[in-house]
Amino acid sequence: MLELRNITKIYNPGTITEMCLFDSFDLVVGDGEFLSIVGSNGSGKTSLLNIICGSIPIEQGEVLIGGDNIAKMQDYKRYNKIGRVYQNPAMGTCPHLTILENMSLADNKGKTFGLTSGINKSRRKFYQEQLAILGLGLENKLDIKVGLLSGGQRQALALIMSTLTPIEFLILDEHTAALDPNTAEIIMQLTDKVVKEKKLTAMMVTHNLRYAAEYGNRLIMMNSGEIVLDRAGQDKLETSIDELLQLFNKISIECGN
Amino acid sequence: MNNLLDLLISTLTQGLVYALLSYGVYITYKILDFPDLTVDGSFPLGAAVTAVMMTSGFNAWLTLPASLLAGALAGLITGIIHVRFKVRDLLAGIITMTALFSINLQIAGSNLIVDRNTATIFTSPVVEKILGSTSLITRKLVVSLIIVLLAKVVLDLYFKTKSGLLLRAVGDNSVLVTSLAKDKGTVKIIGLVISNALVALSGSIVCHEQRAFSSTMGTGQVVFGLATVIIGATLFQKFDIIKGTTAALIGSIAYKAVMQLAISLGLPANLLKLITAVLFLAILIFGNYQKKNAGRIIQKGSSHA
Repeated sequence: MLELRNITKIYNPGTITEMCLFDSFDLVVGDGEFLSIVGSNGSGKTSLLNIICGSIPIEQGEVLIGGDNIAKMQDYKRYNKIGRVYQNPAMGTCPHLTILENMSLADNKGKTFGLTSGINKSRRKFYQEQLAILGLGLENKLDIKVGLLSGGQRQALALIMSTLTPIEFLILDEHTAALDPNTAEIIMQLTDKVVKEKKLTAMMVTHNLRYAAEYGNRLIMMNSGEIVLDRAGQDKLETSIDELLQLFNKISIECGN
Repeated sequence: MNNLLDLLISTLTQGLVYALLSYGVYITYKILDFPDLTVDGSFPLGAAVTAVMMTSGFNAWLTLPASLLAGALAGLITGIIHVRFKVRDLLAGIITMTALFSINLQIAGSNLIVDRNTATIFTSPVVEKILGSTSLITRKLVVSLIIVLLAKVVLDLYFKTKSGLLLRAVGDNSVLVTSLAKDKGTVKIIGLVISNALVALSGSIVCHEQRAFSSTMGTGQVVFGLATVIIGATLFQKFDIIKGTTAALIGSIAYKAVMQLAISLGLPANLLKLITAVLFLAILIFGNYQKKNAGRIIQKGSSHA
C-alpha cells in the first residue's frame, strides 16, 4: 500500500516565482489498484510521481510504502520497490547494449553488481518467455542492440524490464505519449496484460482520457494540486469518456486554459 | 636497415606503453561520457611515484601496483568532487589535475633522473633471465606488450561482469541505473578510479622507459588519449566485433607512428603539439562526416518504425 500524507510541495521557494503546488495533499493507493491519473498540464500529475520516486524534494509530509516512510530516502534506493516507465522510450533502456544485456541488467535489480558474469546464459530462455508476452518478436532478437529498435519496441522492452523483478509499484509516466496511435494502443494493452498477469499495483499518468476510462480500476482527476474526481470499483466502470471530458473542459475554462 | 628496424620497434613500444593511457581515456570518454582532464595529472603521478621508489631502492616491479594505487586515488578524488560536491565534470578534472601538478613535485622533490645502474622493469633480473641475450629495445617491446595485453584481457573480462555491465549502462543511460536501484554516482566513481589507475600505470612504464620523471610530462596527455580513442573508434566504426580496447590500442600505435613519421621527415620538435592539434581536428571532422553517413543509413533502415 502506498500512502501520501500531508504533502507540501513548493516550487522555487523564497523567490518571486514561488509556487505552492501541493498543500497538505493526501492519497492512498491500495494493493492491486491500477490507478489512472488525468489532469491538465501543471495540475501536479507528474510532480506526484516524482515525489513518490524521490526525483524532486518535498517541503513537508510523509510518503509511506507498506508503512515505511521513504520521504527522506534517496531516489535510487526507492527503486528497490518501484518500477518506472517513462514518457521517452529512450529512458528505460540502454541503446548501445543488446536486448540480452538490457534484460540481464533488469534481472539483477536489487542484487549486487559484482564481478560475476554479467550475463547468465541459463536465463536466456526465461528472457525469451518474458519477451514473448509482448508478441513483437523481440525474443528472437536477443543479440541485437536496443538502439536499432523502434520507439514502440523500446517502450515495450522497457515495460518488461521494469517489471522483470518483483516490485511493489509500477509507475507509468505518460508512457504512451511519445508513440503513434497504433503503437500506443498496443503498449496500453500490453501494460494492462502485464499488470494483470503480475498482479501489480500501478499508477498511470496519462493525457488520454479514453485510456483512463477504459483501463485500470480506479481513476482520479487532478487540478492545481488537488484531486477533483476520485472513482473506484463500480463507479469507475460507469464513468464515461464524455463525463470525463465535460469535467475536464469545465476545469480548463475556469483555469483559463 | 638495422636503424630502421630499431626505429620501428621503438615506435611500436611507444604505442604500446601509451595504450594503457588510451584504455583509461576509453573508459571515461567513451563509456562514461566523462571528459576527464585528471589524466594530465595522474599520468605524471605514476611517473613520480615510480621515480621516487626507484631512486629509493625499491624493487622495480613494485612501482607498478604502487602507481596503479596512486592513480586510483587521483580518480577517486575527481569522482568525489564531481559526484558528491556536484562540480561539473570538466572542472572536477581540472581541479584534481592542477592540484596534482604540485603534489607530483612534492612526491618527486624535483625533476628526477633514475640512475643507469638501477634496474628497471626492462632490465630486472627476471627479464634478464628470460630474455637475456636480446637487445634492450626488444626487451622493452616484449615487456610492454605483455603488460598491455594483460591489462586488455583483464579489462575486457571486467566489462563482461555485472559491475562492468553497469558501468557501460551508466554512460549509455544513467536514468536506467537509478531505476535499477543503483547509485549512478558510485558507478561513475568506479569508472574514474579504474581509468586513472591505468593512466598512472602508463606514466609509470614511461618513467621506466625514459629513466626520468619531469613535472611537465603530463601536458597534453589527455588530448593524446582522446585522439587515440577517437582514431580507434573511427577506424573500426563499421566493425562491431572489434572491442573498444583493441581500437584504443591500435589508435595509440597509429598515433605514435604518425608522430614518428613526422619527426623522421624533419618536423621541428617545437611544432609537435601543433601537429597533434591538427591531427586531432582532422580525425574529429572525419569521424563526424562518417557518422552523418551512417546516420542516414540507419534512418532509412528504420523509417517504418
